[in-house]
Amino acid sequence: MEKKEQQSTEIMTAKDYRSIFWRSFTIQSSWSFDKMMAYGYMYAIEKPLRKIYPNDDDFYAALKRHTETFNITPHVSPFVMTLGVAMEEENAKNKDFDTESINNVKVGLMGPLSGIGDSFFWGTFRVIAAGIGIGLAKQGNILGAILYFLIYTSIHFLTKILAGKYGYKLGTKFLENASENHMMEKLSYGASILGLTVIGAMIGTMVSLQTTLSFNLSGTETTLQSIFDQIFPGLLPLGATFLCVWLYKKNVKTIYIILGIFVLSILGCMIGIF
Amino acid sequence: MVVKALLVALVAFLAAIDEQTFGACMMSRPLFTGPIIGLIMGDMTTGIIMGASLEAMFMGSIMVGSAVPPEVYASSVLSIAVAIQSGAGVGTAVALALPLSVFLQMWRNFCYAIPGSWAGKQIDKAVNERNLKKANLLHLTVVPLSIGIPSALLVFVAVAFGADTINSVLNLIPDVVMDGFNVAAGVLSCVGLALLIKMMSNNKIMPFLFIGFIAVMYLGMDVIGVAVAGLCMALIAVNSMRFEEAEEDF
Repeated sequence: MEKKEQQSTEIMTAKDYRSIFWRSFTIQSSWSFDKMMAYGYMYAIEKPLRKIYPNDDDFYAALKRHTETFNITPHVSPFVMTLGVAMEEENAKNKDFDTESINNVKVGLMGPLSGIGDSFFWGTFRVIAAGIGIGLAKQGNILGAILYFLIYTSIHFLTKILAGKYGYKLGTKFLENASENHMMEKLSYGASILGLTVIGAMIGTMVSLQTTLSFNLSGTETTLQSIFDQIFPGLLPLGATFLCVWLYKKNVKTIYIILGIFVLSILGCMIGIF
Repeated sequence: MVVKALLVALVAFLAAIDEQTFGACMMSRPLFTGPIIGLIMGDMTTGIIMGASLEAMFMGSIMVGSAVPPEVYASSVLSIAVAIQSGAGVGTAVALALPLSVFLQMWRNFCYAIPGSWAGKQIDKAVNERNLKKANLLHLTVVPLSIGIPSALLVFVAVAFGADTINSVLNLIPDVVMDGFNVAAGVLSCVGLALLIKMMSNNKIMPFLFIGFIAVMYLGMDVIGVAVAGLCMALIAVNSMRFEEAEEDF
């Protein structure tokens, strides 16, 4: 290794943790249907990235890696952010590091962490905090709003702080001996399998498209959707997704795909397909 | 009245951009904004009670994945303000705010689709030009402002001149356009998923995508269950990986 031997101290200081913590609040600030939280992630890890890559070429190459589509429950996002920092740190030290594995791991964590985060934050903590608050507020008691704020915010902040700490700890610990035993290749391959499986599940849960088209079949009214549901439920969401993949492979620009979806949806409603 | 309307509009602005700028801290919900609007409008107790009833009503409406729920934030700010102003019950206030809520939801989808993806393109460009300041500025401003300003403006007009003025204008939007926007909002997340599929596309592991899809559609599993199954499959696949022992490495 011709690179200057890194000091054994961790690159993440208390200041960097704080920077990621506060910046992670804006993770959805440029949310879009195509890139989702990509730039929010990038924005959050800029400070530690700059430390890892003092040289502009490496720094901007690293930023570019983090402009790929990313989506997660915002409250647990610091975990993936500091884990990403740990991977970038390893990349700076280790010439053989496969940078593609960074995005594979991010995508692999998206689904499982969001699954847990969504059900805990949206399904559990917020409902409990709001339930307690509503009970008091119904009687005109200001404590309802205050308790709601205190309960929800303390859990929210605590989760963010701990998620940030453990993401980095886990990442550095795991990557320490990652260059041996083909660990990184295994991680990258495993993460992309996990990621793709979850993306498949997300097509089923996030994309919704149904047709209301109905026709008369020997006297009985049948909807096309009921036939789809019998033969292949979710044919339309799956079809729409792969149509987009195909369009991307044909280098069609995102904006045309999005506009196309709007136009087709409105036209479809006009002639009664949707 | 104008000062009150301005203050209410400011609260509506901050509430509308909670998901974007304040990390979905959920202080944009009626339970929390109710007392504030009450304070501005001069009847805090009513504000608190209205906030509680609206919160109970909107309980289920939250942002999960990329399904866009009805707009809760600015429209409940408006409902509470109008309810206190007119002395009407919460039901009347909600009925008045409903068209606005539907419109703001549609507007939000539009912001995620067009200004959002425009901002993304510009950020990509700024990163390529090595202009980090510009990239950050675009990230922090484009979507919050395009969601927040119209929301605040509509709330201001409604509080200052009455909600009926707004509703009669909003009713001019044809139903078919509204319906079309709702259909589009349901489908649009396939664009992000398609980008991910393209990024990871490696025909050898594509079958896993279909396994995940089938697990949800045919077996009715939820995402956590699929993730656990995916993790098991990933471990099995990793354990059966074979490496050519490259001699130059050792």
